[in-house]
Amino acid sequence: MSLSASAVSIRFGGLVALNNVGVSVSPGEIVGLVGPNGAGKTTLFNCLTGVAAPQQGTVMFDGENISNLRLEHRVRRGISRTFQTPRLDLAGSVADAVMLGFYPRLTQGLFGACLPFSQAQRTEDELAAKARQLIAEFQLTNDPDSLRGRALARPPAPTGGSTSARQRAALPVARRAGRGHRRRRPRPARSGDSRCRRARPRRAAGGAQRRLRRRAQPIAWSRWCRARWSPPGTPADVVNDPQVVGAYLGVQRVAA
Amino acid sequence: MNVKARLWTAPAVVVVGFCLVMLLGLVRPSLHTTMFTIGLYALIALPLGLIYGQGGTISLAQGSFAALGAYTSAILTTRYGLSPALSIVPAILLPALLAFVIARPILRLPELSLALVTLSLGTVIAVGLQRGGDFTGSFVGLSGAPPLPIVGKNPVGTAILLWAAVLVVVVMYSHFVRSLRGRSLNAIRVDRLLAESMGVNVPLDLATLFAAAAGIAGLAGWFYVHSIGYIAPDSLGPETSASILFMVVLGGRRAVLGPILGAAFFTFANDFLPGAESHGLFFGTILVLILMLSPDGILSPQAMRWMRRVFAGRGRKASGPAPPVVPRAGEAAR
Ligand SMILES: Nc1ncnc2c1ncn2[C@@H]1O[C@H](COP(=O)(O)OP(=O)(O)O)[C@@H](O)[C@H]1O
Ligand SMILES: [Mg+2]
Repeated sequence: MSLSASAVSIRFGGLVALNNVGVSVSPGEIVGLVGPNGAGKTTLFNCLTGVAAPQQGTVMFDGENISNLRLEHRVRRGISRTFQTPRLDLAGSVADAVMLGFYPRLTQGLFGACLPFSQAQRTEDELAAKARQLIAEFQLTNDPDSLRGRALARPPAPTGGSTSARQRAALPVARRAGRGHRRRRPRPARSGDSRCRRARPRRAAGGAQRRLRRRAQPIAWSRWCRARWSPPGTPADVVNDPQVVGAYLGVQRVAA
Repeated sequence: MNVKARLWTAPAVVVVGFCLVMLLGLVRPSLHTTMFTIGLYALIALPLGLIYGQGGTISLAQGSFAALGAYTSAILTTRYGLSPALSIVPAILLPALLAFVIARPILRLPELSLALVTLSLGTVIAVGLQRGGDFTGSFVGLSGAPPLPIVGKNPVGTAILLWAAVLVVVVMYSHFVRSLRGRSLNAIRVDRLLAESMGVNVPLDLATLFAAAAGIAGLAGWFYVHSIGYIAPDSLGPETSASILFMVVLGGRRAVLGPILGAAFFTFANDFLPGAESHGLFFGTILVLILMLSPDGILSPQAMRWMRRVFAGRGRKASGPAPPVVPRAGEAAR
């Protein structure tokens, strides 16, 4: 019941992006990865999830070697990931975007989806209701069915401040919350990214709040500083930690 | 409820439209043949609308897949004495199987390369049928295919049977796009990585739908050969594929009814235009004009939204005078 990678190396042409990197995450643990721009954080996530194929190293999940599985097969085994920029169809509705997150639980085949009055069509109603719940819980939009689903991409409403950015960032989290997975891969934070704090629904229903407010146990990790420590604390404590700040701002050798 | 109703809009439009034209056909019998041609094109174009408009997978082999279905059925019925009611199965399965086998390596190509590869695939099939010697009737083709089962040579019956098949495809297509599978197909078109990160088996799904599209084209080929009784190398082929893509793009690749609208436009224009040489010029001009105004074709998402708003607005207006009824009812009770 754990995710681990060992001796992962990947190069793009002459550029060695990851050199002999290892990481392990045990159940219930929340791990963050920080480092300056270009340190290879996204690349490591890509190797863990199967978006990039490392030349060396193995990725294990629940005791199974998943190194050679494609992204979708890793996802079906219970790994999910979000991306640095929210990926969504700007011409679709928010409800559709959230419902896409139910895909891994889908049991009907392509043919079943075509038939009227079939099982697939009946579960569709349940999923729609569930999506509506998630949209409310994460306060994604007031108009989930608007086909001008730009709802999330539109410039912020005059009264709502930067809600649009928050909602867009919360969409992938809502998508995954619908799946009941054991483990959620956090999106790699961007340097100078304060939005990750805003990405949380503020006073949402208890469930969402609890999911996102677990105690953090980060690994600071970059080309320059590599340390592991476990200060029990809130995400805010982590963000203000001198070691984390150092890793982002490029201060070499932060006092450990 | 609104959503459920939307599932049946396209099938309802098809049924009403078909009945209207067939009634007009009582006055002008040539409309029955026109309706048959439109239905045939629609049957080939609809699944292309699904894989291209929803899935972003272009294909210029639909015409040749239809030819393959037609030849399969013609050979089995004329040489081996099989009844058309039985030969319909291989006429669908053979193109589908071929499509499924070749789909895996080619469907990861970018759009332009895929267009070229499917075009050459269609050409290879066409050349194969042309050079098939006595087996395929060579350049002359095959004649003497028996008439369709049940309806025989009756033009009205033929049109009804063909459009019943079109209706089935429309019903399935409508339900598919509003399902989780349909959403995932759209995700493949918009952002393949998004689809994969949702757990969608992109190569398998695309290959299956590509094969289904080829199978439905094969069904259209079966209709063709058993209603006309004759198939030649230039009856269905790469040129048909190009026309089919034209219908999908012009009619609206994102809409279920887009390919049918395109097929109707193409067929009526062909009937009314003088001189076959000017057709290319006319269709080219129309295509450029329409795509400049609306890149997603006539039935674009914007157009559909506008129509929905108009109809919803009318509905609201109709229910507008309703509120005063309530107090009046209260008064009556008092
Ligand atoms: N697909 C790719 N092709 C070539 N170079 C890449 C690719 N992906 C990442 N890189 C390079 O690998 C390095 C690490 O990038 P990345 O993992 O995105 O860093 P981070 O997410 O920590 O900012 C960068 O120098 C980047 O340019
Ligand atoms: Mg990054």
